Amino acid sequence: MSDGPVADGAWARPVPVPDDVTAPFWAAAREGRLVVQRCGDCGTFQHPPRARCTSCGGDPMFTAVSGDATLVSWTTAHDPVVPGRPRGLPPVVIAVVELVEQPGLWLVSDVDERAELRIGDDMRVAFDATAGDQVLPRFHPAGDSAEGPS
Amino acid sequence: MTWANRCAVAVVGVGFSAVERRTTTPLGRFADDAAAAAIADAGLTPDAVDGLATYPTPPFEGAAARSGEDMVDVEHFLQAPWARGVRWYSQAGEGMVTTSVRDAVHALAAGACTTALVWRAMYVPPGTYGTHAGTAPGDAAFAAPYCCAGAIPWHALAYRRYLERSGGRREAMAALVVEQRRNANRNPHAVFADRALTEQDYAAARMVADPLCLFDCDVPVTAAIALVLTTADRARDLPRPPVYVAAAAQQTTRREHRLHYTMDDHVDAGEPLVRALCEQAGLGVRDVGSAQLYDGFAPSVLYWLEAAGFCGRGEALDFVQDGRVAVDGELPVNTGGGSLSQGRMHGMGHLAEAVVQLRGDAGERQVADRGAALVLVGSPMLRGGGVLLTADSL
Repeated sequence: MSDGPVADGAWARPVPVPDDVTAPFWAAAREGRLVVQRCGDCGTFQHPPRARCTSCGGDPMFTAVSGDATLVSWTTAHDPVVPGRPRGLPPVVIAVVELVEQPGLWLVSDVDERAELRIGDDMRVAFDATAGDQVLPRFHPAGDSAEGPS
Repeated sequence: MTWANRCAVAVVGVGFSAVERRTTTPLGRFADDAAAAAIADAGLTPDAVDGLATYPTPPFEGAAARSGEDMVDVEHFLQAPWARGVRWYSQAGEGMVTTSVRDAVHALAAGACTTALVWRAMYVPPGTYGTHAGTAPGDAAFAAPYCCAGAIPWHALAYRRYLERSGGRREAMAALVVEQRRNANRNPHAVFADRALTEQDYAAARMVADPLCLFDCDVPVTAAIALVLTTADRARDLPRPPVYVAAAAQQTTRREHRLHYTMDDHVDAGEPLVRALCEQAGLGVRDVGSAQLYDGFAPSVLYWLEAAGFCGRGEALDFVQDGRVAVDGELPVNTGGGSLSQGRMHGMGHLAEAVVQLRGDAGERQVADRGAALVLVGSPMLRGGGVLLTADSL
């Protein structure tokens, strides 16, 4: 496992700092599992994690999800303004994906540079990047032979 | 129901500092200049000011925020030798500078102060943005490690989705951006007052984060703008024509995400704000003579045009063609150049331009219709706000 294509050997990705609410997400990622908060009362998924369910005020619990998603949007960012990232590195494709479990359940990812991306493309999670001691779930076009959990 | 404070308060002074890109002059000096100009424009002396309101947040995250250097907060003016008579202040942490205008109206109408200074100072720090330490706490943990940080990727991701859904072409944005530059070329307070921009320049611009090109992004400046507000009865005794605050509202629409825009809901998110403003003023969108629409990124103008109902959903790129939003068009928009060409003042440039237009002081860029001036700040999907200003008391 490496810092992944974004890091490009020239810099280190900003390191996620887990807190009381978000720690289970990062613990699961280190085990190669994608978990998202789901409300124990009304069943609504939400991300990023919150102290309460934003739909009904109930108690959210982390739940394993399939890792299947569709592409909501993307951009090729040139010299993105990211903490600690020097200028002049190759551009980064930043994407938002929607998990199949619920409309509007969106995660951010960077995507390996491809010839063709289209809104609505099927995407699939992989755990192929790290930031410091954290493992990052990333999404790839579903047809690709992305590395699985390592 | 109309607002209890409708036209109870007027803008009676407006002042601009010099506008620069980067400078070693402390930002507090720019704010002092803008305040002095606004107070003098109002025909007052500084000791008349007994209320202060601003939204001071620096335009970058994670760097220092020293009072009077990187930002100009309430404390900066409380330390001014002339400010010993101040008895009310408000410093907004959310909602941008329209929140400060609303706060000042409430304070003046309630008698908490008689004369309020409302300002915004903006600073371009040395070096590149984002050069601070590489950790990502809170919600940033789910975005920054993927290079999604700051406002640019949010807007780029939303804009691609907007173009996909509306069938629009990004090249068509040139009409709006070039028109705003023409306006800036007629505005002495614009950082690009002397720099032209053509459709060819726009077409040749480098991509920042596609579909956003360089000229879709606002221009960072170091500058300050200040307004003086007082009650309508006091305003009548002052030398400049009063510009009345007919409505002032905040963007309070519920939203699901803070990592990025929700992208598909700009009309749903912005429409309640515009409706609140119209209800407060007892006016309709058809009464609006000119619109100053926040343009930290050019697509936000499209979102505001659609949210306000000036055109239908997905139609704004067509709406801004053929001079329709020019100074002499059907709906003059961002007549001072906006953030794209006047300079990034987080909405304060838009507010000041509305005041100048309603006074009839805009010279070569003066609009003919001095009906209500609509100012919408932020983005429909973010925490901003709006005001409706009028030349006549309603």
